Amino acid sequence: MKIMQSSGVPIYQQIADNFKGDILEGRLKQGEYLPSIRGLAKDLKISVITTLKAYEMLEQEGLVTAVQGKGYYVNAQDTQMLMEQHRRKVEEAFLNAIYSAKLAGMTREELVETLETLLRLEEM
Amino acid sequence: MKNYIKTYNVFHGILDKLIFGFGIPVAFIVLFAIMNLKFDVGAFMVLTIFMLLAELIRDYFLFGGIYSRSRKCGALRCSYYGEKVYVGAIMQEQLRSFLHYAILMAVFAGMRTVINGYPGKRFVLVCMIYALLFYLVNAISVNILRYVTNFNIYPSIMTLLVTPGIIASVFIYILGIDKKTMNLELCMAVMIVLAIGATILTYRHAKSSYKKSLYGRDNR
Amino acid sequence: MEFNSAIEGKNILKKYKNFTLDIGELKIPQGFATALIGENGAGKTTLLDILAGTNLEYKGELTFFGKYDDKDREKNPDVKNNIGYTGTGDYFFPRWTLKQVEELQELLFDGFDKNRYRELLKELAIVSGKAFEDSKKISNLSDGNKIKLMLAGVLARDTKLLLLDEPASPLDPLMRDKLCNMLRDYLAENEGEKTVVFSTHNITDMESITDYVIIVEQGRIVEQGFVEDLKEKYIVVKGEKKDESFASRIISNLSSSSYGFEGICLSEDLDKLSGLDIAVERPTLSQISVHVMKQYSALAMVDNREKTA
Repeated sequence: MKIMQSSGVPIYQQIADNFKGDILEGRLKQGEYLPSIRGLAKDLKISVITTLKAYEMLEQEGLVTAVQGKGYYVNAQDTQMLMEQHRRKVEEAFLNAIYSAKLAGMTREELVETLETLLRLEEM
Repeated sequence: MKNYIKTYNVFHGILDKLIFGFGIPVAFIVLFAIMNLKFDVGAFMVLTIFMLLAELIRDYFLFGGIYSRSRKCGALRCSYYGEKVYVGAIMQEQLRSFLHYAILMAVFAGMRTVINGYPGKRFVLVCMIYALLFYLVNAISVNILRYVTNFNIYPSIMTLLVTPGIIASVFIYILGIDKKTMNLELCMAVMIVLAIGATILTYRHAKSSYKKSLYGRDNR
Repeated sequence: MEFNSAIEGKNILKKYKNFTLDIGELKIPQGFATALIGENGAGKTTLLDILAGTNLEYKGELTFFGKYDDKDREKNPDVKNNIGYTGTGDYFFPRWTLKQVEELQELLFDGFDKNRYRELLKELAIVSGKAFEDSKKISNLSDGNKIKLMLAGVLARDTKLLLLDEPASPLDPLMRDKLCNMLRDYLAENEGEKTVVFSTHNITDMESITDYVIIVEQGRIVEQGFVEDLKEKYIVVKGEKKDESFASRIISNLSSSSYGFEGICLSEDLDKLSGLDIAVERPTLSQISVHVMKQYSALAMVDNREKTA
């Protein structure tokens, strides 16, 4: 897990997003426990409360359930629906990008090229 | 017992044990042997002064300032056993100093007997009174001196405190042995009472100074 | 947020000549790291001394670990044995040697692990090289090493609560980082059982470990809460020069430059600034602390008095 201290995105958000990805893509399976709060804080060198907040976010979204004294386990997910939600977010982001590209006077080719470059960078 | 030895070790370093447990007593005995061959009263006086001053200077390095408010060990105060260790250490020191004086006086008396023959019951009594007297002066002095955190003013206070003890020891020698006019048994009884009193005082003082250290100090 | 308290306090009152510590309600959340923040002389050390039992002259009620009161602390060894305290000033008698200090701690605390202690001394680089310097005197240690020695002592014990008075101040950045890691390790043992409280006047150093904050000014708690909650309670506002005079009515302690202004205010007050051309940002803990401290500090009081006079 990569945590960016000064990316502008709050750290708890970054952690929650990370686990969300893991859950949706099946890397964390139903019934599995998330790492212990304080263990994770120790490994990521962040405070306990930040980790706790991330886990509470996941709980609110219904992705995990807290068990007193044992930690947080992954719920059964309606993967189809969650994936759909994410697709919609992607479309929204693309629409935004297209709008900005128009403002900047970019051509269609330039836009596609930019996307491909970014994808390549991400893969690296 | 193991813990008592440990407590003792906390306050007494190896150097202290070597010099004051072994070095100084041997030096005294040698000095006494030399001087005893020549003059009696002078020998006792010089020895008294040396012995008391040495003991008091040593106390500075072990406990100096331990009663004062500016020197309070956080480690002791945050521990449940803090008071026990603190008071225990001070009472151990009392016991040690008493044994130290008693043994030294016994050695002196013994040597005197070897060198000049048995000096009589009065001499033995005077030796016992001396052991108690030195212990008494020592106890009273350390109770005051343990407030002093600064070594520079130590010698002057120390001399002041020791002087009455020296004068008393000279009087006891002159009246008890030279003139033989003093009731030594009575003197001995008085000394025992005073020595016990000083021991109780030290105990209560140590306890109260520890308690005091837990109350009211402005050091936000 | 709900939490158990490692320590609870009610109406803690302590008076000095020119200073009063007056804490109406104190709750230290169990399982978290709590920072006591405040200026020098705000009352942090006094409060920690009262909690640790090294200062008994106070009024008020204290509850430790949910079941002991402050009389139990003096009567039952379980309380003080479970609290690791490090203080400023003479924690150890300056003439003691490392060896004596080790033996002392064996006497003073049940559950002091000598082997662990020696490992910690090495880890914290107090003893360098191969030999444990038995005869090295406390008075010959640097301030940083004195702190490290105390920390090694409390971490080598089996405790549930650490009360650390200014642990980071004399440490170099590398050691501060190490301290934070050690405290995280401590918190992670027995998930949620162990609690850390430390005071600091330099919050930036310890920000990455702080969970709960208690800001103390002039002997009172002026703000407290979990860091993530406080970061939502307050917000940083930046704006243009032209809006400065309007904004200054909402934002106290606004700092201005020739390009614009910057300040911090309650998130709920943000509506009042609507219509202005402003940018907002999530505050850091230091920004929040400085903001709160400025409002309540002794210095600010003097300033205000001068202004009204």
